[in-house]
Amino acid sequence: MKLSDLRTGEKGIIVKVTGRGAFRKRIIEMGFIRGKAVEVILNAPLKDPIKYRVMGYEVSLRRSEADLVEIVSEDSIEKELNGNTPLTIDSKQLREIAEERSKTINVALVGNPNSGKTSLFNIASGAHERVGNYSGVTVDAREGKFKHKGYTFKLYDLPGTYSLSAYSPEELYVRQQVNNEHPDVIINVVAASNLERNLYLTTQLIDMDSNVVIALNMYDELEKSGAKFDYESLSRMIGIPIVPTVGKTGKGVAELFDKIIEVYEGECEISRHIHINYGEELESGISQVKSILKGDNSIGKDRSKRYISLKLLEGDREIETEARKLPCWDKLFEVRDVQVKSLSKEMKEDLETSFTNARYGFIDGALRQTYTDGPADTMKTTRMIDALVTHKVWGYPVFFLFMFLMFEFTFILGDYPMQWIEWCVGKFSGFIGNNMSEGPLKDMLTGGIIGGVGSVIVFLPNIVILYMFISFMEDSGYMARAAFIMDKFMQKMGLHGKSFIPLVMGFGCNVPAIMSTRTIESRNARLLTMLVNPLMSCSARLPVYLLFAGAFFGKQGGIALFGLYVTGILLAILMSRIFKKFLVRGEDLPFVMELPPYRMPTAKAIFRHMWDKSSQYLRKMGGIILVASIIIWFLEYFPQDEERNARYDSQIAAIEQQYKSQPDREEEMRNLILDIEQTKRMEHQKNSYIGKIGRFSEPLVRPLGFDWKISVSLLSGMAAKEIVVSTLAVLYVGDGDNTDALKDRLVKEKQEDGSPAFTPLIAVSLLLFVLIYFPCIATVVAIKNESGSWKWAAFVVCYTTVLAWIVSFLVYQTGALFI
Amino acid sequence: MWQFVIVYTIGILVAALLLYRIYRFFFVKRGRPNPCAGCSGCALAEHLK
Repeated sequence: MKLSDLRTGEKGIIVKVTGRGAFRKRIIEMGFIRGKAVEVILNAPLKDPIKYRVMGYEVSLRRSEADLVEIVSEDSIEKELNGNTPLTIDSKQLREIAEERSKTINVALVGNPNSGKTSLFNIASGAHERVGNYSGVTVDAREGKFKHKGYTFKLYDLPGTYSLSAYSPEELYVRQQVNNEHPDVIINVVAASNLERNLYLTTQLIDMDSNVVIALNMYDELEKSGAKFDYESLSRMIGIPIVPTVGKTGKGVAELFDKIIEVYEGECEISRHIHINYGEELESGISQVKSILKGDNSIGKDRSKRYISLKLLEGDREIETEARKLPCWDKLFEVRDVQVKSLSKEMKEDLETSFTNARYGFIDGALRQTYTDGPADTMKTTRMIDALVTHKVWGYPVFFLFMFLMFEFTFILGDYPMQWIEWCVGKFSGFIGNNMSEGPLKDMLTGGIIGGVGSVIVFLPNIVILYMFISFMEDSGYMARAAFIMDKFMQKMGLHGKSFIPLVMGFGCNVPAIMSTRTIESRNARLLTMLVNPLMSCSARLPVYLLFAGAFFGKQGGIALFGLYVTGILLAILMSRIFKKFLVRGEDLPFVMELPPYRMPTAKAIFRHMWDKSSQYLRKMGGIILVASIIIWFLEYFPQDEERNARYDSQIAAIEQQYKSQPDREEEMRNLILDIEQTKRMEHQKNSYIGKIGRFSEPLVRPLGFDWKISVSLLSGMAAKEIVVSTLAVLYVGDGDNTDALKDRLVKEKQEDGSPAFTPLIAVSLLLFVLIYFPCIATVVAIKNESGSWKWAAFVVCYTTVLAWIVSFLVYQTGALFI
Repeated sequence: MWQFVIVYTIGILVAALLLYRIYRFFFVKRGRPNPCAGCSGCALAEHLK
């Protein structure tokens, strides 16, 4: 609750004073100290300013100043405790609550991409957030909470940025989080392996006059390199405490949070606000602009006037928009424009560049006094590997070889555990079938639940292996190299080099891939990447591919799989060029991307990723796949036609009677009965609810070689692509005992006229359709959220479905001419 | 008979769950849009919940 929310006559206890710099200091000096009681005496006319009594005397505060003071009051606590306990302002309970809240520290993690923020976040909060060795992994803020030495820390992991300008969405987002959310302390994570570049962001935080503690991360790498860094001297120089940490192991994290407590309590001797000296000319310009702001007391609580002046001279659009709301804005902009013109002429360059150079000059000066390079060249291994993987000729074959091996191993290695799981599922189904009496529940369990869920769960090993390869590529740093060599290629596609990473992430799941397009500065490239991302075949489609590749391509299944993914990529290229030419036109921004040093991913990290993937896949089994399997089973089981069932049962009874006395012809009898049961099942399915839905949509898919069962399975893939497999499993029950693997059932399945339901050509047509057609609902929603419009989401649904139909049609009809 | 009872009960529960999820998707506005809308998918979805 804020102090400004208190009404006349109400009392509260001060929890903390937010805000920054001199503004905050003034309020504290006026007596608004943590733990003190404060009472509202009077609101002036127009409710501003407000008169308070604190520490035995009366003081006025503006409403905007009172907004910075956080309190607890009788009313607010009573509401939280549901009015169960009557409280008075002196009660011990209220003071204890105020004391506890004043020991809650909001901490934001800010730093360059790949500096180790998320690793620190995971270590500190015990979370398992995703860490990758390339920029663009964190695309949104994450919150973690934990206790340390009696304080509660609320930790916010923000996306990595190189600076706090307003160019890309994540830079703007981080800046807004820092300015508007008022974290109590900011942890600036600085990678010790690249001080000069990382400290640029620090200089901007200094300009913003925030409470900062630097976590000098990857300190072990600095020590290993033999470099000498007097961080304590630098710390005193810039007025920011520096704590060395190693995010991988957690070393220094406890000391880091001890230091944060010191800064928060105002007990850190090192913490002080400094001004970066931008040189005589620029400082003069800042003073001129600041003098106009001096007279306006409405500003200063969120940002310092010096910071606003600086940003106006740099031409920062966000600050300009806010400055236009000030009463003095016309005079302010007049002075600013004059300064910009004269200073640009004097400096012989634009002011943004001048400020940037001045900041790097400051950093350079500071490091000259505190840092000495080591003898060892830690980048030697990285350079050796890069000589091959980023070679203008060999880079591409190495990349494609890696991708091919990834799919081949997914198929081959995954086959063994897949067969074990298949065996277990078959045994379980057989056990239920043999020990339960006939009836709908038995049918639901064996045909619906075990059939549906079991048919998808067998692909768990393949999914895990695929993710292991993707994780290795990300964590080792190879992903950034792949983006580097693919930049030229991406440009030919009409995309940006940075689009490569979201596209490759799409091989895992399209949803985070689409979210990670936020790291692409160019709006056109971002939109294009989103539009073609669904053509990057996600891991949810893998069960469908493996099922048909395994059933119809045998040992060449791995090659078939690779071929499918390559087809998806080629289609993405084609569609990207078409969209770039006709739909999303515009210039591109330059490609600037960090190539981090190679790091060997730890076994722990790889196993954690495999575990995370397994657990989320299993959750999907117990969730959406289970529900979908039950629904499909219901639609397939009902309505029951007792008359038809009785007719077929009597036919079976007649045959049994006929062959009773001929034991030598038992096999013949069994075959006849199986034929009748098959016919009964087919007729029942045709007339079931799902059969009616399927036959309604069948004319649309007949030209592609699909029957109504396949069309229903494809429709069910709207919720999640794995459901295509579970639906096929429910609809294609084989000879009824369900112990055969699904792929064997599909191979044996016959249509009404006796022809095979599936041929290799139909399988290819179906695989291509599944590769291309509309993405799952989660992906559609992600596209809507990131593009800001349902129009683009609807467009993706339509174009992918139409494209899938055309491609499948061409392949099937052309193939039918030759086969 | 008892099998039908269990099957119909499961059917009703599943139908209710489906309708509830559809209702939440279309009518329940959240402060921050959840890009994973209904997908039980990945760690990111878990966090955004």
